[in-house]
Amino acid sequence: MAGTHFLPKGILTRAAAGALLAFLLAGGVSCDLFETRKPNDPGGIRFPCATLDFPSNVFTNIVQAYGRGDGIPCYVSNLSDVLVFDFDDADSLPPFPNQYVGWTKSIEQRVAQNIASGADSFFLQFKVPYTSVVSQPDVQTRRYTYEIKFKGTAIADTLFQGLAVITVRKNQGGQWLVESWVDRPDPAGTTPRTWGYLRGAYRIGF
Amino acid sequence: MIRRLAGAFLHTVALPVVLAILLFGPGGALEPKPAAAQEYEDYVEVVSDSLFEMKPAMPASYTSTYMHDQSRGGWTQNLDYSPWWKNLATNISGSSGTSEDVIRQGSRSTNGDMTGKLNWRAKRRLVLSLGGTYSMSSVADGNRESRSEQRRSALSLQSQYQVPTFLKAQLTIIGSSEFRRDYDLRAGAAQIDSSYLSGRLDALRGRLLWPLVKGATFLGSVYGSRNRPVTSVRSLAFNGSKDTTTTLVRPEQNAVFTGALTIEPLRATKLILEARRNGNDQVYFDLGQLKLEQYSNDGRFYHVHAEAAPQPGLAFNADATMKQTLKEYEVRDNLNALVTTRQVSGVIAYSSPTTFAFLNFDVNRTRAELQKTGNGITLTRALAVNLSRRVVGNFWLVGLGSATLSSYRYLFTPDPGDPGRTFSRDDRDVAGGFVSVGARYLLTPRCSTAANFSISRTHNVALDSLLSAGNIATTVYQLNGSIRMPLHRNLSIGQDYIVTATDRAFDYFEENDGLSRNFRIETTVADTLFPFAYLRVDHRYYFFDQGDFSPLVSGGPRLYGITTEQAQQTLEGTIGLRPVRGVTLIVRQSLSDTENRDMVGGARNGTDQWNLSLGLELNRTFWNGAGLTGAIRREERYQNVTSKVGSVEEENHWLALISFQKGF
Repeated sequence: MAGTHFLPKGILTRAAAGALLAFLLAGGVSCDLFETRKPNDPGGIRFPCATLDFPSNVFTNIVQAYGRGDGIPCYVSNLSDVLVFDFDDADSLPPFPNQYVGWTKSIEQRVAQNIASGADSFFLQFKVPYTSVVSQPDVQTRRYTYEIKFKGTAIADTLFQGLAVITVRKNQGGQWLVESWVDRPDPAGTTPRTWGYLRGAYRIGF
Repeated sequence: MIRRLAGAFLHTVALPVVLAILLFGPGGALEPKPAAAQEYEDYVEVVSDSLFEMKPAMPASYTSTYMHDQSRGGWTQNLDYSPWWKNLATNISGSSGTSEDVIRQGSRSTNGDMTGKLNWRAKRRLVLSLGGTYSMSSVADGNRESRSEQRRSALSLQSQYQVPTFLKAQLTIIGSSEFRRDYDLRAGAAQIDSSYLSGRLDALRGRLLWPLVKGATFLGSVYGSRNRPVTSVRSLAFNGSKDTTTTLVRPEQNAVFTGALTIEPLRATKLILEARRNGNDQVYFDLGQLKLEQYSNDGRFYHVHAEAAPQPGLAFNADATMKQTLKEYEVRDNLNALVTTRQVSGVIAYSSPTTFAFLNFDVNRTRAELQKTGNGITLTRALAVNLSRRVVGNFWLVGLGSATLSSYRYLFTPDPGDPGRTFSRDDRDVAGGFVSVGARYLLTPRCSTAANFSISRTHNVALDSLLSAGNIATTVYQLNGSIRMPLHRNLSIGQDYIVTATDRAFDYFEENDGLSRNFRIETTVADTLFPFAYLRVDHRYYFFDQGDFSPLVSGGPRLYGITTEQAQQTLEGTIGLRPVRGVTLIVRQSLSDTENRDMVGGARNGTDQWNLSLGLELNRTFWNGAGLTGAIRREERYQNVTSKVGSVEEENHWLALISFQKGF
């Protein structure tokens, strides 16, 4: 080929290309280019939190982690820092008229902690199939009919039912996080008491 | 030279501005009503000489499409007309679309747009252009509080002049003036908010293509524009308690500079140095926030590309890129971000009649700052190798491999347990690896076989101790094979086999480890009975189980305890008939049986499903280029669930997508 005579003879042979390829492969492995960092030991926390690289894992984490003391860090890790809650107006009636003001991720974390520590028993179920409201590459909104069987100290009610319309969005790091949570009573349910009502009851002192 | 520059200025800047003032100025024939400008393009269109040299083969075309499925019905139409004369090229096009919910009345979206463009080559070096666009869209879901409308209109004048230069350089200067009006409306539960934005965007662009010396070319462009849109925002409450109008003036300035130097010192060797710098403003009414948004974007881009093909079949490519974008929003400040990306990538490829080899590596470092959340660095490293070798005849060995690492490093707080390092609670790494070896043998084009074995592994590592309990390595082992064999001139059989095992191993808690396996075999028999008919039979068998795969005692051997099993069989028959050219009748019937077993509780349930599909497919050309394409299908499904609480479901619906095209 014309032009190649300008280059040192032998530098662009197939063998040289093979050697370069082998060098890159060896370098990639030996320099730990693909090694993960060393994580901190979980110690006594034995809750296996699913990774947030799939939207379904977020909903799995919510169901499995909520109401468990050792699951709170996992539950909170599913929530976006800009999370917005929208509770049903009926939940704001007495006895909890101002319980839902300024409900941020931080408040949600403390309430979830209170519910977990105040529960003698807790069972949460997201019923399937769910309704897919929005399904786009970077955002999903699902409407679940949920049921909570709860036995605790702050309130006497043991059954809570409702509809949870939850929006998860993929962030720049590829993680799906809960961005919006709308809580409404289930018209087909047997009780008007919702998850929001339970949350309101356990927002105590803050 | 001065005369040339003065001529360029006259043609590109002064002429469109004078025309614009005459036409659109106060009292002008086309003076715009108070209105709108919004999302500007950051470029001015360059009119190519080829536009005047190629007469369109079919100057007019019309397309109409109707679709209907279980949830929505819709109709779209497009008309395009491009009359052409020497030195005068025009285009008029329009489209409209409407989509309506089948079940929910009043849930409807409509949109339409019209564009017109006239390009006149007034002199050899001078092109004058006149363009106009109008578009509208509205969305309603049947409730008064969720209706929105948008209208956009623009009228532009453009002048393009090729300046006579020296040393073979090509300099093109373009001046333009564009008038825009935007109207937005959103009806809420209690009030209506609307905005009306008008403005004139004056833009100037220069483009220089300069062959500096033999083997070196420079291509540069400069773009600048300014606008001073006036926006009126009105809020009107339904109960009459509020009716306010606010008028705002926000200037916009846009500038883009690009330059690229291409050097080709040797044959089959190329070096490209590229740079771009841009600063843009946008002012628009944010329907979500019901406020006037001002968005600015400041970007830098630098790119070096080198390529060489020193021997036949051997090629090297390398790229290095630096990109920085600063986005600032006045209202939605949660979208503010300064993102800097540095990337290096390279490719080595070799191909010959008996060998194909390919290596690709990619290293990327992205730093995000000024964001409300998620500030930090993301590192991505990827290496991929592909090797194929013909051993003998049509027998090939194929090997693939890849390694990836994505490392997310959000915040940089010192680790209390190890002051020498920093991490954040959201820090995590995802490492992946993939290896595949296989062979394929092509006896004839219709007779072939292939087998492949692959292992892929993904390791998710959260660094924080509160989340590291979920760190998990997932390994997928897969063995697959396929065979394609003709039994007769019109009869062929094909089979695919896939065996997969997925191992889920937690880093810290092996008692949670799990395993799942599945086996799939698919068989297809196809027979072309006659030139106008075919028959196809498919059988699919699928088996899946999953369960715990953990040791009974710590450190002991891992044992597989199956918790659930699923088996599924599907038999499907298809008959296709082509009574006339371009028309196919398709009848497809399938029966599937699924059985689920809970191996712990002993519960069993099954599902029998029967599907029938009657379809008509069209791909027919009629007279003078008119054509009809599409499909109409009737789908019927019957499902019987056998469990403690049995159930029967039936579902029938129509699907249609029909499109008519005609060229003139």
